[in-house]
Order: sequence, then structure tokens, then C-alpha cells
Amino acid sequence: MTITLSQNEIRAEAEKAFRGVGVEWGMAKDGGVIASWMAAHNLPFLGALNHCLEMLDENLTKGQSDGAAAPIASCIAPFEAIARAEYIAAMNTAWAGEVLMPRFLLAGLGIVAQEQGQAFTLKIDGKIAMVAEENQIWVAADGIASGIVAVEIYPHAEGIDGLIPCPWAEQIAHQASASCWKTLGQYASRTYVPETEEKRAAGAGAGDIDNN
Amino acid sequence: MMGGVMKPNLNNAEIMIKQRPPQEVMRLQRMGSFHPMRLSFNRQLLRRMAKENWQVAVQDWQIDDHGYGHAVITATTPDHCYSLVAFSHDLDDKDRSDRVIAEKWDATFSLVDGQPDEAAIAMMADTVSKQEAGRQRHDQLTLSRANKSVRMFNHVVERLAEGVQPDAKMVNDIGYTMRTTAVYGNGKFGISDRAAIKDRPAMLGPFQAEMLTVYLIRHFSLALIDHLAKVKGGEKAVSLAPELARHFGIGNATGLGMAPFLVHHQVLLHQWMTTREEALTRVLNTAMITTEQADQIRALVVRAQTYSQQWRVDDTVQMDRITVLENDLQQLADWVSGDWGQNPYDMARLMEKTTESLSLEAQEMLVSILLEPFGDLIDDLGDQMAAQEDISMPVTATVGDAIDLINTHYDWALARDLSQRFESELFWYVSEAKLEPRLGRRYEEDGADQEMPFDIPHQIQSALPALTKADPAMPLAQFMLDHPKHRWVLRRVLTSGHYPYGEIKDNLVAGDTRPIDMLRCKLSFFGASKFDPKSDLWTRITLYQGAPLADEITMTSVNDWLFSTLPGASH
Repeated sequence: MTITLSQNEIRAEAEKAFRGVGVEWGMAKDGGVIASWMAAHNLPFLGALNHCLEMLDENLTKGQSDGAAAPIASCIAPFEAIARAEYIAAMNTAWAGEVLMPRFLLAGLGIVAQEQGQAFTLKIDGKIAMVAEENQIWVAADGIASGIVAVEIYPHAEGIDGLIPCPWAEQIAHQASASCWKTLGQYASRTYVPETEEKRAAGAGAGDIDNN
Repeated sequence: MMGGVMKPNLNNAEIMIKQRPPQEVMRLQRMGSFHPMRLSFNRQLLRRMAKENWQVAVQDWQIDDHGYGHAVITATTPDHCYSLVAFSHDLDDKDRSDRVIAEKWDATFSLVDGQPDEAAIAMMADTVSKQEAGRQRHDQLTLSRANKSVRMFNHVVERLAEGVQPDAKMVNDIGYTMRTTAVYGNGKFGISDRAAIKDRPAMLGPFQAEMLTVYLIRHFSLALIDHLAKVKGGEKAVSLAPELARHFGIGNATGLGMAPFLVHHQVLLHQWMTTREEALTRVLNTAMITTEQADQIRALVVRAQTYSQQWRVDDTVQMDRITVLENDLQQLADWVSGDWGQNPYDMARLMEKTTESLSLEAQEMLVSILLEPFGDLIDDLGDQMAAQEDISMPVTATVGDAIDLINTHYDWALARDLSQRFESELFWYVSEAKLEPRLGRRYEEDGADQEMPFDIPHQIQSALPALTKADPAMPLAQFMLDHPKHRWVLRRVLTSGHYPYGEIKDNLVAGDTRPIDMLRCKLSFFGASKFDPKSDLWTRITLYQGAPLADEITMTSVNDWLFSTLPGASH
């Protein structure tokens, strides 16, 4: 069963879900925008996002980390994709390392490329998986590997032979699995605080049920 | 010299009145004194409707003799049409609640992109009536609901049915026959993202879909009254007199749900605030004004006096402010009498005197008044009030840049003694019930572990020592990878460099924070009037009271309803 989602819903729910597993606010905000960017580009992400959240939950909520930058051993998590792209652009140097679900790097690199006019090349197993240059983004036609993957990122654009333009579907609602959306919502719901009767009595419209 | 405004010096040929600085404007007490103004979003909508000759028409009216059913009201622009689909429900009195957690309403609405077909209306009959609990269609631009002011609604219907106009004082006192309890937009519950319509001329400005929704709800509420009066009174019934109809706006109960918006949208808040300030600065730098402009300002001061006399609320804090305002307006009336307006920079002098000696309510009311006659000078600024908000940080920024920006723009945060319990007394959180923002007391209630990051002075005072330990030349991107807990506030710090009016310069978790000030600021930009606080946490307001009806919209009428009053309705 599918559900039609707006990008704003995706952004807000993903941000809260990241917070729900203990990610710092600034990074969680990035995570929400990354999820929304994926939806806007019609790239599948929700199942992978939930998988990441499950792993983060093990490491952050129940585990050893305090919410710092490298929660799963030393690999880059989805919510860090923008910060990592900024770092590579700021240092103007190549970076190599392990990434959890590298498809989210597409978003991080794409966002920094679009907003700051920075060029990037992403390689997986030595093969170009993405090239970003300002508003132009090309991706590998055969998709992006899942899991924890070794990648290289360069602060410049390389050749785009064999790549296809990344789709852009800003105005189209995103179709997603209802069960995956529900799972995301369960992580998000951890950020909600039960309302007391006292609070209920003080909210907008309360205590004044007039028919005037 | 008044804060931020250079005293006019007639010996100086190069007079330049400076814009009021953020440290003067971005204070909660001042923001909580704002009034509707010429650049408010509902004013911008009506000006566009007049300029582009929009047509508003009831396309479908399936309302029965009891007033229940559905209707479709369409606004046709030069390049699109937008339809309000309205559902009127039979609601038991015991179920009528303005709480956001209510599940039934007298009427539910959605603004649809284009004209809905029968299948779409049939689907919305189910989903729109459920509001948050229904998954909405992607061609819906907004989602809203309203309850009747039953006493007012019934009074008007009964009087019209009898062939008599309703009581003017009652119309003025209540000011609406329906009040909304939410107007959702931008992708909520599956409706369309704003991104889908943001490039359309009619939707360029902020909240234009929401403003159109409320205007069409007002049209529906008046049509429903007319329908029921005619059903009840038959040939004896009369239509509502235009001057009374015009004085019915749409009420609204607004709570904390609106407040976090001002924190989350730093760039947008800057655009709103700086636009308002730039408009004021343009006006104050006008050396000489015409007799007509001076007369209009005088007339608006008089109108504001009547408006204030008719503005009566139960909240003692606000009522005390209104009492002071009434005295201040008398002072203003004296100041603009005689030959006022005939000397260079009389408006700047007036603003200066008001700032030096009158209340914040009066100062900000004068801002609204002074902007009014100068449409040619300021209306173009309305186009600047939307914003594209980037997420990434400028990659050239260094740790030293962040320190400089903190010292420049967050001195107010550094100056606070956060060891005082008072400075942390509150916390903001999202309630489990309908996911609404709430304010808790940290030392008395649970939930602070899930607080929203609105403790900005605390975060600034936490980030600065870490920054000062780092190499000032270090790229900030590198620092933030090492210190992710500071990323949220450092993003704000960098943003403040370009958008200094985007940060409220008060501690939002201090014990004396009044969220109502944030609500009033935002609502003033919507064009809300008659602020009627019910506590520090929520307020009633009215939108479109005094605005021209759909068949009265002209370039003249859309610019002549600030501080609308009803003759003969004063207390």
C-alpha cells in the first residue's frame, strides 16, 4: 500500500526521526532536508532511511556514541552528507572513506553544489557514480550501492560519460510505502511529549468554548 | 536622537534617516505591539485582486435549507483559478470547540488548485471533514476549518429573516460570524507543497494561498447567512447591508503553533521585518508631503482613535495597553493638527517624538499609519517578503568569522547571566496531541529532554568557548564536523551576518517570555486586527474586518480599510 507525501511532510518527519534516535539538532535538520531532496529528485530513500535509523538507534540511543560525527564506527551517516560536502569544498581536497547508504551523499553533494556553485565527483569502487556542477547533477544509470560502502569524493567535476541527468520532480507528490512511512513516524514520535490535562486546559481556544 | 533614526537637521542638506536597527526592532515587547499595515499579506492579496481584476463567483451551491451541504467558490486570476471547497456540517453545540484537538467543526474548507470535479468533491467530503486525520489530495493548497460564532450568526440570520438589519454594536463587538481554528498550507497532511505554486505571480508573496482561503471563507460565511435568512424569512427577508457585511471579518483562535515559525524561518523573518523597516525609512526620508497626504495621516489618526475606543478585551495587560494607547493617540492627534505636514521632515519629527515619549503600541500604530499614504513609494517592497532559505553553510566561512559574527550580532545573548534559574525556566516542545508546539516549565514539568532548540543564548554561550579554542583560520565546516552539537546555532550565526533581522533578541526560554508577542508579530504581517489575548499563550484575532467585499474590490477600496471602524458602535 502506498501513500502520497509532500516534501514538507518528508522533511519534517525525517528531521524528527533523526532527533528521535539522538542525532544533534543541526545534523537532524540536515537529515530532513536530505530526505526531502531525495523525494524531490524522485530517488528512492525511505526504506534506506529507516535502515539507517535502525542502525543509528543501536549506536546512538542504546550505544556508545554521544551524538558526535561518526556514530557508526568511522563511516559517514546520511545526516552528515551536507556537512561532509561543505568540508570537502572548504578544504578543496579529495576525501575517501566509508559511507552508510551512499545514495544520501547524492543529496549532500547536490545541495552544496546547487546552493554554493561547488562541483563534486563521487566515485564508488573507482567508478564515477555522480557528478554535480551547480544545478546540473548526473548519476550512474545502474543506481547506487547500498550498505556501508567505500567512496571517494573530489571537489571538481569529472566526465559524465555513461551518467544520466538526475531527475527533478519538485512539483510532484512522492509516492512511498505506507508501512515505511509508519516506521519513520515511530522514530519521530519519540520526540513528542505527552500532554497533561493542565496543558490541555491552557492551549488555544481552551476554557472559552463560547458560542459568541 | 531616537534609536536608529537620525534627528532631522534642517541645516543639513544631506539628511538621511537611518533604518531602525535590529537591536531596537527585534525585541519581543516591540514585536508584540505591531499592527496590520499596508504591506500585510492580506492587503497585498487584495491589491493584486484589484489590479488584475480577479473574479470571485459561487460555482456550486449545494447547501440545504438547514444550511448544510457543500459549496464551491472560485477566484479567477489572469492565469489560474483557485476554488474554495466549503463543507457546512450539522454540529452539536457540545462538540463545538476552538481547540486544535477538536475533531468536528461547523465548517471545513480546502482551497483547490483549479476547479474540482464531482469525484474530487466527493473524496474531499470525507477527507476535508476529517482535517488532520484525513490524507488530503495533492491539488489542495490549503486545509482549514471554522466554527460559528453562534450568537452572532443566529442573530444576523434571524434579524435579516425578519427584514431588519442586525445590531451594529454587536457586529462591531464580535466582528465575525465564523472563526477558523487552523489554516494549514505547504504540504501539511498531504496537500500541495508551496514549491509547486511559488513561481506563480499570484502566489509569489508569503501566505497568499492562506490569505485567499480566509477571504473566500468570509465570502462563504456571508453567502450562508444570506441563504438561511431567505429560507427562514421568505419574501420578508432582506440582505445584509454592505457596511455591516464589510465589517464582518473572519475570526481566528491562534495558539503556540505559530510561534516556532519565527524561529525556524530566520531568513523569511528577516525579509518581513527589514521590508517593514525599509518602508518606514523610505517614508521618513520623504522631506515634503502633499496636503492630501497630511490630511490622510490626520484622518487615520482619528480613525485609529475610534478603533482603539472600540477595541475592548478581557486581558488586563492588553486592556491597560489600550488605555494608554488611547491617551497617546490623543497626543498624536494634537501633534498632527494645525500646520503639521507643511514643514520639511515633519513625519520624521513625529516619529521621533512618538518614540521618545509614547508607548510601543502607539509607536507601532504610527508606523502603520505613516506607511498608508505612500503606496507609490513602498508597495513594490511587497515582492521582497518571500525568501529562499538555503540549508548549507558558506564554505568559505572560518571559525574567526563565526566568532566575529557572535560578537557583533549576539552581544545580547552573551550579556545574559544564564546561571540564573530564571533564564532557563521555560522549554518548548512538541505535544503528542496533534503535534502542536507547547511551552513547559522546566523545573516543574517532564519533557525537557525533548525540548526544541530555542534556548539560543545558552547555545551561543556554549559554542563560543569551543570556537575560541580552535584556530581562527580553521574552516567552519571542519569545526562543525568535530562539534556537531553546535551546528544548529552556528547556522543561525552565519545567517545573521546577511539577515540580521532574522533573530529575536530575547531569551525565548526565560521565565518572562510572552509567546503572545511572537503570535502578534506574525499575525500583524497577516493583516490581523483586534488582537484579543486570552492568556500569554493564545489570542483571538480578526482578519479582513472592514475589507471590501468581493464585488466592491477596486484599487481605491483595497487601500482604505486600515483600522476599520463601524460608525455608531463605540463603547
